[in-house]
Amino acid sequence: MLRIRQWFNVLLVTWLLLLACQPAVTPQAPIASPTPRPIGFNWKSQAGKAIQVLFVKHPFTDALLPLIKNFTEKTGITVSFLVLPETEYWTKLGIDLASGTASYEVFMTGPSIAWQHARSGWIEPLDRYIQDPQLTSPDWDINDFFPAFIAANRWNEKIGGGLGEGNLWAIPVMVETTIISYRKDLFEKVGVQPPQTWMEWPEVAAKLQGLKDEQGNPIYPIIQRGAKDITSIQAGHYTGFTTWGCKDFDENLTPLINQPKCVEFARLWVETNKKYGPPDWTNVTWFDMMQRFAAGQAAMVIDNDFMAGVYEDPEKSKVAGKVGYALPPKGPDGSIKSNIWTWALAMNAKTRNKEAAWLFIQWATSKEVLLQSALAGNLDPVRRSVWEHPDVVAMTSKWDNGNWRKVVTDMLEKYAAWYPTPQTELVAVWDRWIQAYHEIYAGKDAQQAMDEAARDIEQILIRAGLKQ
Amino acid sequence: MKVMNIRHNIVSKRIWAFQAQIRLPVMRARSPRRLLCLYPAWLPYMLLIPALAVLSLGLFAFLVAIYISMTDFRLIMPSYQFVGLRNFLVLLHDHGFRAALWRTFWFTGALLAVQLPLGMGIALLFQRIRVGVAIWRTFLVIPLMLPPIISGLMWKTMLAPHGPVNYLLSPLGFTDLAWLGNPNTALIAIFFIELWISLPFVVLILLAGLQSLPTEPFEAAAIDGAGPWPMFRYITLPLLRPYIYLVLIFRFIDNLKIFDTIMSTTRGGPGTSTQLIQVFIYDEAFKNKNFAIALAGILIVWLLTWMVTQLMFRRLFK
Amino acid sequence: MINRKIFRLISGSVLSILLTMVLIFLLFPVIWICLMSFKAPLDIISVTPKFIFRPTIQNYAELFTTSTAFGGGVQGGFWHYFRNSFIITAGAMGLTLLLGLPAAFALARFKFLGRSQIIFTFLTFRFVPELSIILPLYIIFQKIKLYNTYIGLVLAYQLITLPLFVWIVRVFFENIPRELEEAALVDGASWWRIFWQVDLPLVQGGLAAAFILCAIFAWNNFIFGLILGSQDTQPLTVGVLGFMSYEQVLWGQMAAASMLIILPELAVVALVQRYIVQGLMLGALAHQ
Repeated sequence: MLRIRQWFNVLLVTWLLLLACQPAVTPQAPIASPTPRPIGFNWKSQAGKAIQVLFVKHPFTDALLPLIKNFTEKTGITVSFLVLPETEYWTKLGIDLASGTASYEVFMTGPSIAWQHARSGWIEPLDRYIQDPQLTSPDWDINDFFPAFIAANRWNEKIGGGLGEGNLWAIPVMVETTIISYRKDLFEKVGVQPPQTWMEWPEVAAKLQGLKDEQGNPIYPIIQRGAKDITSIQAGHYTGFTTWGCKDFDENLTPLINQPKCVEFARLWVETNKKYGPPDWTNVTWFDMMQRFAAGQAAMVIDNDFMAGVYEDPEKSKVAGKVGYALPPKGPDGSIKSNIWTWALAMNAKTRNKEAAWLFIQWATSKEVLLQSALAGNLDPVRRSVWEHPDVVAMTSKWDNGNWRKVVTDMLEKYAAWYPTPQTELVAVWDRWIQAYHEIYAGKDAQQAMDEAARDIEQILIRAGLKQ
Repeated sequence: MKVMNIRHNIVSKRIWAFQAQIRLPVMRARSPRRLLCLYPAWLPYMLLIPALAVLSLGLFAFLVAIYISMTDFRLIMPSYQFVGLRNFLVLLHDHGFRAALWRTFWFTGALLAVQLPLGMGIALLFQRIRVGVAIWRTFLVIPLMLPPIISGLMWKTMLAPHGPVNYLLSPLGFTDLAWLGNPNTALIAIFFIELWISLPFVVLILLAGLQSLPTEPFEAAAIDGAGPWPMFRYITLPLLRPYIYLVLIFRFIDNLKIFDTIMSTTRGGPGTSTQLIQVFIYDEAFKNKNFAIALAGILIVWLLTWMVTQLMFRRLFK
Repeated sequence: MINRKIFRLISGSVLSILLTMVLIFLLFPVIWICLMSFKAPLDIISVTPKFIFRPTIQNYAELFTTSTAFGGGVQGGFWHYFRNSFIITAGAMGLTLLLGLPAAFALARFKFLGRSQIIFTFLTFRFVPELSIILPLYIIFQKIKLYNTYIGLVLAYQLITLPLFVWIVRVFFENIPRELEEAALVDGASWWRIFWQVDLPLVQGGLAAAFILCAIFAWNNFIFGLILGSQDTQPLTVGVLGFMSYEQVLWGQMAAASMLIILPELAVVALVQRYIVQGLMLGALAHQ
């Protein structure tokens, strides 16, 4: 019995010691000196306030965190933050917002989620802050942003449309577009070029069959996302879907995914993946896809452009230097369109420190900070000044002899935009959509699967009160 | 005391005779006789109140959850308007919910049917070990030590088409099988992952039970020449009944809650082949944002669990 | 005679083979993770699983140096999360011992009104997945200012550990042979003395098993730390997920972190083993 007591005492003392030795967690706020309120913009106008920020684990976050102390020096506002990986981030943010306690002044969001937040009144429209000369520095310059990405974050709260109009709900910090990344060496060996149109895509893949790497492992002609996750609908798939001429809903929120044309694309997408992709396509997440391409297991991937940062890093990838980049395939009408995703910073509407929050958002999306984050790996930039900055040009021109930069410049300037229709049930809808694709993969007739999916999606919208 | 239905042969007669001899001590060890000393009537309650008080936090949260399940609360439109039992009816009519529930019960039953005998067998094996039991037992607990999310992620890499598992099974011909990508094999893969995670629990409890058994019945039986199988069937199993029930009840409850493993491997896919009930509820809560409906689903599962556990409980406390 | 010997030999070796197979099944994934934690990133993504490779401790080194490896960024780092996990788990287990032992004893050895109902109530706490009560708990915690505090998390963790602990220990209390207690009673002992000096040493084995299991469940818990805690109090299980970065999953570092998560648990199990053995020896003695 004595032994138990001894151990118990030891543990108790250790525990108490650890509890007592907590380092100061929040940084000390510098003392705000009382100055008369100046006219015009002043970084220190909110000195002494404290804000909390919720970040997603992302290169932008990784690049921003070391710079936050500069912000505190500059403005006198103390920042405490929490970083979470994406899935957990949405869970925590959802619970926090739904419970009505405004724990975080600033958080990261994106077009589709911002719609939900806007409709529930959780995020603050930012136009008023941008236009106020007292609150926004003249250097900040909203016109420096590529117009498509600001438009993606504007919405007039009309379900079924209205993207690009109305209030600006969040400021983007990065964007991803879809391009083709392919193995130049393998394409040369077989003697093909990257597909110009989506119809050519399976044909090119067919010619790339049967390749093996040095150890004799098979190299799959293509690899795409396919896991039961909304991100599988998002990138390469939605680009193809839109270029094919399809739309997800009409203005009355009637699903169009089971139109014959769209079913044709569904068939094309799933069957090409089935024939020419890895056998566990239904389990391939975005990082599986990226990792396998970097490991040399696939010849072609039509997905995010910024993954080139991984493909070209010799420490992380076996195919560095062997990858070529091209514009995404054209649709039947010859047009090139790419869907995007932008992470953006939004302001909690229920907070009392709105000006302080705005100063943070402004600082984090300013030219200097975004430039530094781009150089640290946060691609693609959303500001023209950052994209054309000599250091960024130098960094990105190394890939594929400048070809990557050429392709992505076209994407940023011309082809990339947000295409899905605004409605608040995007997550549920896309989840049902990918489920239909899984069923087609398992052998179900494509028209039937898409019809059932369309029916279920209508039910989802009706249950959410968006449709009668 | 139930008289066992025995076949009339010499060995079983002998076993029955041992049983009669050891019946009295066995009975006494199992019957819930209380402490015979004097104690104030309020004592048991006082001993229990601190624990129950702390747990009342959870009870309160649960009651709030019950209330929310009867409103139209959505994660993106928090409103608390009372709608009665509508959410429950919506769910019971939903084809996906019923499919997930059915799938979960089948899965749970199959998992239990393997966990218990296998766990029992492993526990018996472990009991034979003479040297270094502590080390073996430490090894045993290792699968339990990884957080289920990490276990799931690691298993996912191991079950990839060209991963270690297929590599090791390549003599059998499985070189390219996509365990988690094929709707026919995904649930089987999850089955083995869950088995891997849960066996330590079963074995640990059964082993502790085995090692706390009295030795006289076994010695008496050995003297009278009983073989290992009758000893196991007529002595070990009855004496282990409380531990087996403990394991049964807890595994049943935990099998119904399987979630982390699926979320880190297949997320319910391909299609809906691995969508067990907790995954369905999570999707309903955080993808479709229908939090109230999800809570209604949880309550339905709770009710079913309660009914089944009550049945098991009665048999234990008969 | 010979038959007996051969039988014993065969059964002995069959048992060994079976045991080895069981151990391979149980240990192989962990061995794989251990190997992974010593591999360089290129070896990890290699197509054919590499069992022979050049080991590196780069992953472990990066765990402790690269501040952004964990989700915490500049303030975080492995030790921060490890400390949190330790404080929360140790605190939760301490509280569980304090509350659970008397409760289990009461439920096992006293007869009173409502006994079986209370036993069943303890069980019902396990029915609900944590996700269901997380929203009400979050609101409650915010209101009573327990959000992001160690005490709040320790209390929340009781919902996981206490029911299991009480249930397991209760079964062990009930199976104590009466003769020893009766002997003590004859000597004029009160219930308190019986508890401390007779019953408690006898259930050491079950107590240790219950302690191991509950401590492991508490250490591995994830959802309470995620939702009810924030930067200051998040445990290791949440921090480790920071390796699921947006651009890549840092498998090597995640494997290394997993190894480091297991180590304290192994230490606890090794520590508590002694009491299992002691308890069983006492139990065996008791039956003589």
